[in-house]
Amino acid sequence: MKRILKPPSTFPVKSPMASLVILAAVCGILISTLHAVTRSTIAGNQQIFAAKQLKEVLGDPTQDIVKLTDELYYTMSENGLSGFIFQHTTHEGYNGTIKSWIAVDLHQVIRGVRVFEHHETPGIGDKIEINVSSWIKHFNRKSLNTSSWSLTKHGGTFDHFTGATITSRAMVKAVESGLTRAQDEAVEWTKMAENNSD
Amino acid sequence: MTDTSLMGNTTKTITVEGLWTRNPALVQLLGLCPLLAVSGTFTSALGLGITTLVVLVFSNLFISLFRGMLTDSIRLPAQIMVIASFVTLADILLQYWFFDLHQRIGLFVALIVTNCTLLGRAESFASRNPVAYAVLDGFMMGLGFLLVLLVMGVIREVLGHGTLFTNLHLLLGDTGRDFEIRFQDSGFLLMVLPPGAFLTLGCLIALKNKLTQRWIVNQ
Repeated sequence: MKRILKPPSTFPVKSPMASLVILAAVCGILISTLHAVTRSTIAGNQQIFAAKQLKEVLGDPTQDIVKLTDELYYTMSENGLSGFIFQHTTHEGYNGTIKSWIAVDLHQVIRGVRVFEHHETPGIGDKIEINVSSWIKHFNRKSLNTSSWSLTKHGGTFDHFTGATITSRAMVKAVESGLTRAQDEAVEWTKMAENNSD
Repeated sequence: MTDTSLMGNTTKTITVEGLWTRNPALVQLLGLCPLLAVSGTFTSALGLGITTLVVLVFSNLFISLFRGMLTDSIRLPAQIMVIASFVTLADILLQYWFFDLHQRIGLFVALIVTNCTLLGRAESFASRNPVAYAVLDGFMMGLGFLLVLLVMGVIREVLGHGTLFTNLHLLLGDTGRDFEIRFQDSGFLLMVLPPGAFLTLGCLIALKNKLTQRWIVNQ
């Protein structure tokens, strides 16, 4: 192929430094312009995405979800405060961290659990994801008093899924510690929610 | 040789090089990180493949446009800056149009900067050739990369997950849901994991070499 090795100099810029600065300015202007134009839409997209996730966890479209912090929301039914949705993290997964949203009512009974970030083995441990398996729904309507928080093969309430005992156990333990946390902080959270709605 | 025939010739050479003889994924073996990471399903392969193609076209265009300015001492940093800028632009646009998809492949979009195909084309082609050729080269190299990514996505999704075109609604909107084909409920786990990507790529390279060999013999 014929290649033109020495291109004709089309720009009257002599100093390499000046060239670099000009190019950087052009790139910077492009990026900041696009960022300015798209920023509000992207922020909206983010909110829609987060809201969709929370609605899924709650499983009840009639209730309002109100933000307290990035990791804690409360829900309102017609009769007022109806429960909380909070983020809970465990580091005992097969490949480390598993993050989930847990929705509870005011009696710390689970309304829903959804994993939103994990590194478990695809095809084996990823059955904790709702897109892959409905296993996670076993936690619905469970509470600390009504269930024995370990796997059936260790005498508990919850079935593990084949090939991923560690992931299953991590998830059961994570939800249990999440519920314990919800119980411990129930008074605090209720106070925060009441202050917020005033 | 007249100007037009030279041009036709070069166009053909660029096309053949990008798609076949110097295919970035099968011959130059560049950009293996995204190739292995996102070829697990057809949808993510398509999403990242198109993004790479677009970034490659624009970075080539830009670098060719400014090639008169880019002396040896600043050429490499300038090229990386241009590539990084266009990857950032692509990242913003993905969040703007396909937020859900961005949640899945967003991590790898940033890694396009480190895809050596882009710097390779900028350095070895765009900085030495006129704008039209540079754009064509970017398009053909990007297309060659995209096609390999898609073939790998199809093979790995069918064998690894037992599905095809799953989650296509992330790219096409709700109509995309109708495309999903489900062969069986589970697949061959190895194909989902990174070794499956290496095996698939190896088989594709072998096939490509076999075809090229046969083609030469026939001539």
